[in-house]
Amino acid sequence: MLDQAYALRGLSRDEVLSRAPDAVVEDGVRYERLRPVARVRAASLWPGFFYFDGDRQVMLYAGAPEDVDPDALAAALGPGAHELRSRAGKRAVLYVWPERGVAFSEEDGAVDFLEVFAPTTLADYSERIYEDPGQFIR
Amino acid sequence: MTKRAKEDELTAERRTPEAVPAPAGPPPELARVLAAQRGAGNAMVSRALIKQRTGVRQIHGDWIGDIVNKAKKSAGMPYVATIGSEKVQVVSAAEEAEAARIIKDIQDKYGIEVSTSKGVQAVKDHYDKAPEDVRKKVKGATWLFAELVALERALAHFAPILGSRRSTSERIGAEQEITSASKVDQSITKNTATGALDDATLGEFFRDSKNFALFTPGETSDIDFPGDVPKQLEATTVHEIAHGLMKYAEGDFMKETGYWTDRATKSGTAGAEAPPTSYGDKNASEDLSESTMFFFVSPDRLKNGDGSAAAGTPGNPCPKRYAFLEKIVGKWKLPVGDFPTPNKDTAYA
Repeated sequence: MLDQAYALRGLSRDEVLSRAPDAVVEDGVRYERLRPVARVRAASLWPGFFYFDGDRQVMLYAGAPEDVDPDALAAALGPGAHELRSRAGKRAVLYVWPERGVAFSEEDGAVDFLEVFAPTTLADYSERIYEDPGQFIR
Repeated sequence: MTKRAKEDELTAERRTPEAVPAPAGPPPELARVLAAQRGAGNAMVSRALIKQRTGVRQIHGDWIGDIVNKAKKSAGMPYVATIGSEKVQVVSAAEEAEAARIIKDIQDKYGIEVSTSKGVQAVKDHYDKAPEDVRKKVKGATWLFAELVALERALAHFAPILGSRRSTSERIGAEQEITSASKVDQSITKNTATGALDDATLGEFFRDSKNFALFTPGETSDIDFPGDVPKQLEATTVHEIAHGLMKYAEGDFMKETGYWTDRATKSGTAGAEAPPTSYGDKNASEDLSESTMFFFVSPDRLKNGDGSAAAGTPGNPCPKRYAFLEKIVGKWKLPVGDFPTPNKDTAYA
């Protein structure tokens, strides 16, 4: 799945729409701190959403991707993951490899969601994309 | 009153047998240990106990606890009653009896065992990446009587899909998602190597263990209902139960409210009705639990909002969520006599 995501990461909005005529576009939405953005669902290309700021892709997202083993994913991404609080739940952990442009949330051995974006720094990811969900107390 | 007379009075008070009855003697098992200790000495008895694998600490602790609790009970002070495997803080024999009834009824009517040890195990199992020394410190806690009352009230909201009634409900065929409830002292902050004992968590649901636990920090919380701890206890308990019993409705909930694209991601769609609280803004699962909590415990708060939040922001009025839950809960009970209505051809006697 990671290879598939890397291949799609650089596509512009026009390129996605030309490759997927069945794509559904919603303008003026948000993804965490990224807003306003356009959300594109192109099921024939990717089992999730593309998010665009204008023509530029800012996020490739997949919720609860099937058959993705978090340990295998982490092994493929290598060392250097940062741990952040995940919005998926109290026991979930968001692992971020900002320099590789990948983050995923894991809980109880399953991937809650996968994010693929342009490589950046942790500070930039935290400031521009990540939204701290706050403490889970119940 | 002279100093001597005052001293006599105080001495007499101390002697009054009705005030605090003389503690009962130790149980026979401990009496034998104490007698042996007097005759053979500590070291000998210790070795003998280890050989017999007798829980010295347990016997000693239970005995002291029993004495203290009997004294407190006689003095009309709050005491800890042992009811089956559970410890419950009560203020009277009547309350103790009521606590026992609640625990039994919850098992009989709802198929939910009140079992603190199951909650302790659930925390340890679900925080398997936390440091071992932290996991070892997770321990059971004494129930407050008010928590058992809240537990019973909370479960009653879900009665049509619990216990034997589930087999005559819309949820027939799906296994009951919760089979035990626990009182645990503290959870763990996160499931990583830096996890620590948790001072803040009020309650938690553990899907794989079919368990939910209430934690000691919840005993005094009134986070949603300022000044009304009993209502908060019921609300927190409903929230945890909803994580289990309402999970099946999560997909439809997201579709009908339009606020989420999936369990962890907001749609960002303009005009979508937001969750009833900021807490519910974390993910769809928390949103559904918060909505269910208000639906049962404070329905007007769900319908009308917190009075200050703008539409589309957490705390706003939630008529869509209210209508959704009304529909879902309304479907729990199957119609009585679920037979097809006769048509004209077959309607004659």
